[in-house]
Amino acid sequence: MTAYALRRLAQMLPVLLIASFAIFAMVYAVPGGPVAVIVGENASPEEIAEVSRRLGFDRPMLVQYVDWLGRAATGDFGLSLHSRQPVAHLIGERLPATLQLALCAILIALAIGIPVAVASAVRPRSWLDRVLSGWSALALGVPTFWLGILLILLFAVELRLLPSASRYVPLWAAPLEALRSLALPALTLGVYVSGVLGRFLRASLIGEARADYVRTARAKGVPERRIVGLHIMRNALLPFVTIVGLMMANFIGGAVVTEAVFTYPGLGRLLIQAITTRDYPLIQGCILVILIAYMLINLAVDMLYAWIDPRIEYR
Amino acid sequence: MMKLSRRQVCMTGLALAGAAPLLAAGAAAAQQLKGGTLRVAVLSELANFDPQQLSTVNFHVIKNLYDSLIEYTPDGKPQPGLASAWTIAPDKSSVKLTLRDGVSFHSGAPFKSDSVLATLQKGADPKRGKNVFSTMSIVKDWSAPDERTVVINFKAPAPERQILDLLQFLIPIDPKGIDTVETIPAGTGPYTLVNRAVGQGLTLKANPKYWREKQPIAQDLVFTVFSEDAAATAALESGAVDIVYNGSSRSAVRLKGAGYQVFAGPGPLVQVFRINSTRGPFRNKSFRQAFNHLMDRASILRVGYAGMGKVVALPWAPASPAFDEGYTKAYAYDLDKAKKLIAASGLSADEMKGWKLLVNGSDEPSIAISQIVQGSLQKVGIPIELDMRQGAEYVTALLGGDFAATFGAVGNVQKFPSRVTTNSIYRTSGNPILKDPHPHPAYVAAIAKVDAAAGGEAEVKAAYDNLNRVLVDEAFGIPTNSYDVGLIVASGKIGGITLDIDNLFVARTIGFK
Amino acid sequence: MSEALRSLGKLLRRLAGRRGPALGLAFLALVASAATFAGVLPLDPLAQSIADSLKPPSAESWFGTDELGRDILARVVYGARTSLVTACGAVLIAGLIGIPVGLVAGFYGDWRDSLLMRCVDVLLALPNVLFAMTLIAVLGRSQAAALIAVGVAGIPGFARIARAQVMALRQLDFVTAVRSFGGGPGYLMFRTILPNILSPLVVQAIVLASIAILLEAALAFLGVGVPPPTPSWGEMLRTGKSYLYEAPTYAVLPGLVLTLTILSLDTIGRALTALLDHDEAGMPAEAAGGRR
Repeated sequence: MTAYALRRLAQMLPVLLIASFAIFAMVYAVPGGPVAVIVGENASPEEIAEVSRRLGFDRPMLVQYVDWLGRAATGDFGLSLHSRQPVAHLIGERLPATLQLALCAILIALAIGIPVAVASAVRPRSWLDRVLSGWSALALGVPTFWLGILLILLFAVELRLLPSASRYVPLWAAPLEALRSLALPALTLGVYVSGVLGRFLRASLIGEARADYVRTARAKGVPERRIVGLHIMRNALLPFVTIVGLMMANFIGGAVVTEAVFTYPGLGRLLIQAITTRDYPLIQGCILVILIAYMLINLAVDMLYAWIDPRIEYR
Repeated sequence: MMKLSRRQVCMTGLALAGAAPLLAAGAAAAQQLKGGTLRVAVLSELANFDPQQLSTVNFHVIKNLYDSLIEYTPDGKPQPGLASAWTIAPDKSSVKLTLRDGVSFHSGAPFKSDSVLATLQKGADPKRGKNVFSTMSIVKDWSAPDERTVVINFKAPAPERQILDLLQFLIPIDPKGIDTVETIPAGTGPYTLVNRAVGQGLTLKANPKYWREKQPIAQDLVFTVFSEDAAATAALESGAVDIVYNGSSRSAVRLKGAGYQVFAGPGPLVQVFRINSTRGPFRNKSFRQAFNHLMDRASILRVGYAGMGKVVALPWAPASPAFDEGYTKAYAYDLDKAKKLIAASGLSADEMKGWKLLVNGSDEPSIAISQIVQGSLQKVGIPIELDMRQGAEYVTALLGGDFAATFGAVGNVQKFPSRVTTNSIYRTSGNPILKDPHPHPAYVAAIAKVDAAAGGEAEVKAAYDNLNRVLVDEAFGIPTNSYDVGLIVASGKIGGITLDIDNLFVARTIGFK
Repeated sequence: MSEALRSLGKLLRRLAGRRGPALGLAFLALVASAATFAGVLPLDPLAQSIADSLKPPSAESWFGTDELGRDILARVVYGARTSLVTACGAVLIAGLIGIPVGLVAGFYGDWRDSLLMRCVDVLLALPNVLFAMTLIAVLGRSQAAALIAVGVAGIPGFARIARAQVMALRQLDFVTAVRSFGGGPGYLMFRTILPNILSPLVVQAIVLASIAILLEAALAFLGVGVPPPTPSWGEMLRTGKSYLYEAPTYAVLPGLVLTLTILSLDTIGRALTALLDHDEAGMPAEAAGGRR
């Protein structure tokens, strides 16, 4: 198992290399460098050239890339061009906010998704199943930014119960304030994920229910509740873990739109801000972190999978 | 005069900005204000703490971390600041400053003439002077006869207003911290920096050794950065912040209707339709002049800025000495006049199109008003496309002059008229859009005439009139309206708002009722 | 190919026989025809009337007016054009690149597989929106840029499905038979295998179409989509969101149309999958495989 993990980690390296180079090249090709933003509107061409030289943007791209890579390998992502703060520090500030939102959203999704899936899988094609499947379809189809707008209209504009904009408040620092701030964005994301989870879990529950071992158990007279609760659920949960992990991985950088609707200070918004200001080191740092997080979570999910289900062998 | 009450300050400020009737501000100043934690929502992440890199993004911190040599009241009267007195020589070729006693920097170092010298040196350095540099162009040299006195000499006799503008623009920096001032503030201001979370906000606390008596009132000052206007106003409405600074005019109008206090300062920006007169059809003067009449200014003001501001045809705020109401009527929106000028240009239909209007895609009002102009152009038979650019990409195009036309606001429109040349399109030499030699020598001459008018009132007035005439005739910048920058929307329990001539945020007088 | 079309026609008829998919098809048909024939309708998405800005829905303008007094319904109808053009273009791009990539990777299964799939993994690891935003930053804001960005983001989907299908098929009798008659790799991949894996690819195309419409709207919502004044649903949501207090219906109605479009595509996609799975029930188990 350890060997497997190590091999997987080794496989991640080329992907990271290709990705970081691709991103570097792409960002490099973007018109409108960062220098103009740094020097401000009233700068002279000489000043622009000078700043460009000082920051090393006049060197060939490949040289800049190797230079950056060498330092990134030691954990030094450089300084943000815009704020002159260490990139690692900026990312470190946003990561907890992103994780907190992702976790809350997943919890909401589980709270909605599991009951929905179980209730509809117990009697497939019943009216209840149709209604609940409809819910899953709706949760998946409604764009998060539209749902966000509707929630703001209802809870902030009409009822004035919750803020339409969210801040990051650590849950342990001020739980109530944090929940108030998190409620709408977490609900928005959670509803979407509940659709994914609900639909997925229902399919695998129904699939498992048709499996041979269930038939055997029934024939043996094992109580139905025990069959569903123990056998079916346990086996259906396996692929379910994968999906939850994937969703989590996606949220590290992919909740941008929800973050934008509620102006939540997550990693995705930091990256967007970096792209608009052409903050090269920040863009590269953010993307690298998002990639690594994605891959590590994927790996963790696979390991967990093996731990739950010893039948899976790793060659 | 020096003890001008806050009440007067607020009143003049509001009257000047043409804003709505005075709210409870007067009463608030009269009653005792309490301290506490002042929570302010801002809409921009500050670039850095260098006071010589003043731009709208750091308007909220500069006057709280630093003090100027002198201040202006909202109607432009000079007030002592870190300079307790100043004497302009009779021949207007030098100014002698007396520095305030008993002031210290946040580092604990005493405020002396060496810091003013270091600040002047930085300002005069083309690399470090940033946007103080152009204002320093009138300065020849400086000296410090003693620790409390500084003398600044000018290259030629300078108009008094220009000298005062310079003093107001000079913010003494601690000589020990001047090289790291971008990341570590080094001022004498009423607040000191506690911490900064980039992209989220910053926390300041009261400077216990501040030199102005009984100020600052609030012990803690917390700025939270919101990326969207709606978010900031929502925070105000839910009570998460006490003040929204620099929000949109539209939200201000709505919040005012909901019972919040709105304060507009005397230093608005003027939106200018900038024309690159070195390109395509814009080389033709008559074609350019048509744009004086193509701007549906009333609609632009209404859609872009919720009607808060004034329509203008010249790049001056109402407080500017060169402001002239007559031009607004003479150059009003008039498609027939525009068509006549377009016909007089002798350009063919093909020659007139084929350019794009550059739009700052990060600025909602710009997107809306650019579409209004596009609509007007369509009506006179000139179909054009919008070229939307975001953030850095827009700034690069704007700075490099890589555009045919674009909307861009100009500042310094309430000060000495030649200060307008700090904005790239109005620069007289090294203009990044129009390049050298300047294609409009009449304009360069008109600015020089204003700068040289150190004589009597009639001479000054004639110089201003000439500049105004030249501006609409050359028509490379078409102003459309003034609008408020640094609007303050405050909850009812806030009192003691002081308006700054540049609309910077001044927290030291603010407290809770 | 004509056989594939015929079976597609059969599928459509079967879809129309069920309530959910039938409703979806009907709504999509409405949106598509409105987008196609928008020109003949008495609607002008660009005509400004600033005096009438931000009006609520009324008899003259069913969806109300926007901040420049333009008719929101007209903009929704013309916005459908933007969405559909993006969806079709993106599916085309993703298919034209993704399917050959998947075919080659799955067919050879050697270093080519590793190399291509590592590249696909990179695309997959980066969130769609962020990737598309960076690409648009490079290309500049335009309809073409939005279309390309969304299309490239859709490549992994096609590549993975095509690969999985090829891997399942390449050892089957009919493929080995063609190979033994001297069919070259190109012939095998594109003439023998491809026609046999069309159905899952069609389903993927529909799934991608809905993703494309959603992604285009999301990009416009973030302010990097098709530049104005060209109407786009996402752009309308973006602007409408800043007028929630003055004109709540501004953001709600275009969002409703967007949501219904996506739901319709989703319903059809799922119904198709169900039908195809049913058809494939008789096939050897590996044929449906490739899912791990």
